[in-house]
Amino acid sequence: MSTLDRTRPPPSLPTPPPSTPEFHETVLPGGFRVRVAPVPNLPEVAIRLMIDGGAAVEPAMEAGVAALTAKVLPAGAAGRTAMQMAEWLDHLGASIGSGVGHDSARFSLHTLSDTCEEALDYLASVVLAPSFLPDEVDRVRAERLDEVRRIGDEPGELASEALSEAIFGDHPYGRPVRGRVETLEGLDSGKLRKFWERSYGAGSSFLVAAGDVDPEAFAAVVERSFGAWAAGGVRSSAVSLPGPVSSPGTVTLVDRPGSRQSEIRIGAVGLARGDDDEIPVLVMNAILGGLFNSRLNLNLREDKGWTYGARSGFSVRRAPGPFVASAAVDTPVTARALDEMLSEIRSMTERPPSEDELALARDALILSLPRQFETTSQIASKEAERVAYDLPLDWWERFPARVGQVGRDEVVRVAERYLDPDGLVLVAVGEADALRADLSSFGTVEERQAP
Amino acid sequence: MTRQGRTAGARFPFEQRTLDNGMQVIVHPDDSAPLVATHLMYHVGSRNEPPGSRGFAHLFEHLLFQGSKNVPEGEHFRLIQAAGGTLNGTTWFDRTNYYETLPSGDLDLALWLESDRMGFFLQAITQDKLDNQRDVVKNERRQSYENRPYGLAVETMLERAYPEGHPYRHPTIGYMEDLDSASLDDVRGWFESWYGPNNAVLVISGAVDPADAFRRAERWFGEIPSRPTPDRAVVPIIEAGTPGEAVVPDRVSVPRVYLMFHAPPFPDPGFEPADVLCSLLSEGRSSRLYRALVYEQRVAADVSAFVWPSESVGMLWVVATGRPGVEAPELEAAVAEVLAELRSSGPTDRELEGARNRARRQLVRQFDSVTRRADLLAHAAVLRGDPDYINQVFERYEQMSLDEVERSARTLLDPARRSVVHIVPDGSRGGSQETAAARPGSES
Repeated sequence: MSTLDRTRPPPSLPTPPPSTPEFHETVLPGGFRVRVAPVPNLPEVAIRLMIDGGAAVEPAMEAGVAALTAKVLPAGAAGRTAMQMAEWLDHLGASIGSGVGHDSARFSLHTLSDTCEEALDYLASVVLAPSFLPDEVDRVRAERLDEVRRIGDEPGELASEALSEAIFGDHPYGRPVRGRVETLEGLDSGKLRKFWERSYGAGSSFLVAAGDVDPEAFAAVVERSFGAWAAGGVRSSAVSLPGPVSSPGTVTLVDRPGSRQSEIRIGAVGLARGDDDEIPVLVMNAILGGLFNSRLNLNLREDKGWTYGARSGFSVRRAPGPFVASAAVDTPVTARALDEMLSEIRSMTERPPSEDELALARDALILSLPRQFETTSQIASKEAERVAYDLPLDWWERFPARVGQVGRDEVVRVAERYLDPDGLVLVAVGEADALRADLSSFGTVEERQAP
Repeated sequence: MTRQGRTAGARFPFEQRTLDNGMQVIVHPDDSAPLVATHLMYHVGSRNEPPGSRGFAHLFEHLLFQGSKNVPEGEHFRLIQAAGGTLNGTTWFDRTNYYETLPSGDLDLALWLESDRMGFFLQAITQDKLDNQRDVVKNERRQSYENRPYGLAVETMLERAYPEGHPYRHPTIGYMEDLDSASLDDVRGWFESWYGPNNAVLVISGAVDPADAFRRAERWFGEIPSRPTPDRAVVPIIEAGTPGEAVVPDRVSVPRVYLMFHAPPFPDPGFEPADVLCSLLSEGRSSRLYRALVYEQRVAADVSAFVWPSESVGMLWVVATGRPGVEAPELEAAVAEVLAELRSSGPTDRELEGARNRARRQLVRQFDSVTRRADLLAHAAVLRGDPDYINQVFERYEQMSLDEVERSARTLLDPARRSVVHIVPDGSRGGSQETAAARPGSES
């Protein structure tokens, strides 16, 4: 090795390309797709079961039914009581989680490979043969209502919910996925069962696995556990979502007396998953607020010291999802922080990115890929997401080249399109008495009490 | 259909060396992904802070990201991100760690950055950087503690469970008044005292050749001179809890009860049984506390029990959040009843079997990235003095006996070892206002 030069960053050595996990697909009777990638590093398997029935397809009067259904499913199934189901899972040692978004419901299962078969039996019982026992439905609904009523405890969640509402209004994306007190109170065992019958079916679901498994043997086990699943379920991509309508220029102030900080948000309608602009927007957002060294964070945190962190992101969904810039800031600087955020958002068109900023954004996105495909859980999640949004098979293979092509003009173009200053809405959650006067400079302030 | 291998068979090979300046280097080769994780752990944390400097170890950690002699301000984050990497640092009672995960060809970048701040940090620190990061940390305290529901429970508990002057009596985030008083002299003193190579362990894990990794570590760190490290204060072991409870009103709509039992620390053989005990208590819906409090009695919204892997004194926490209308004393009584039952009759074979199965799975997950393996190797090396713990831990859990867990329950769940904090609605949020009114914010 040569003499040590500490004055500049050492050069990179060649890094071998990551081995791309290879997925094997089996389509079971009823159209149920099973995609498996052998990743034999450790004796574990990560499984994702995706159901094409998220909150966006539920009737407005039944808001929260998708999420509540997923939460109720394990509470009694296949002839077992809720507690017997719990004992089964807990003894097996596997872990299962469910997450419901606007576009789909996702069940995540993590298991050792030697308990994989039984874990799949458990999952199949939950999804195929739930009992919807009225007592259990009432119990789980009561738990959900408690959670919803507690939202006023969490200023960050309050702010995010108020922002979605301000951006999307009556569009399904304007509603919280877990529902509201009024709609949850109307849900019962019959309504949940109806939602389950409509949305859960082999034809509208698929399963992805990555881990220490043989693809053929794995598919055979899935066929045995899930074989009884009749084709059915509504493909929600076929359900048309209305285009979101926002009411720009509004400033929502949620009064939460005694707050030690203000949670601030700026948002707008963004773009849909798979849109041609998705990759340019990713690069643009990395520069604005996606990275630690982004304009928002360097300004609000590293220059001003007003916050522990400021960031932005686009949530890409089946229909155009939200753009959100966020921070929790010291109360006395709330209005100035919003002002700086707005000016950084405007700066994306007024002060086009430098070559250094562009290179950082592109490199960070491209070179971080191996890190995002390291574990079985990461591999399964990425594949589940790709399939759920009908992204092409070679999406990730083409990703580096597509990011690499994004130049300054394209960044400015998408910034003009998606960060239109006239389309922005603002939210602040905090001590209203300290904020009211200053916020009026941003537009008409709509004030409400935190619940 | 799948391999029937016992997880105990999992082996994570590593080699270790100590450089002439006293720095310990551990290399764990694993080429399943073209990644390398570096983890530099300094054996210093909030417990080493002198009076009036509570929170300094963590503030100092922030400053270490603000550049060093050859690394301009802002470049540390930028260079790692530009290489596709990720990084962070954290502070705990007993240690402060700095870690990066990068494409394997960028090992030198991490070693350059880490060695520059270990060797040449003081040349670059300024009053401006200190003032800026002090503001950031104060906002971190506001965001993550003061403005978060129940955010002050832990510091209230530490003050209650440990006597005045005890090194574990304050939280790593510290207190505003102490942060305000931090000076550049404090920064220099802390660096000189605790940030020498002889007080650090470097772990390199991932797609590297051990011989090459050791060479590179030696090259970047070898010339940094060791320096004397202050004597470590002896940490008094505390066995007895504090009777009664601290009642703290907060902007919350339902009460939460915190119980903390003095317990074995991470390096003690009693640590794992205590961990299993927690698993029996709150992991899964058939666990003791969940079943009784959430499912059957419906007094709690959630429950959790966990042990903190601290170095010198241990802490076993039991936390229960009430449902609307349930008051803290009632909730605490329900928790106490479950603990007493487990303490008197012990767990069943089948319960223990479930806990072992869950532990096996969790351990595998805990080991499934180079970043997490580096983390565990560093913790085992610094807090236990034994990096090979990474290869013993599976068996430790798989061979856990009923006797061991029974003994752990009998000893640890003794009410006399317990301290209690109630966080109750302050009345601003609706909910059970009577609780707050009847129990003003003083300690009872």
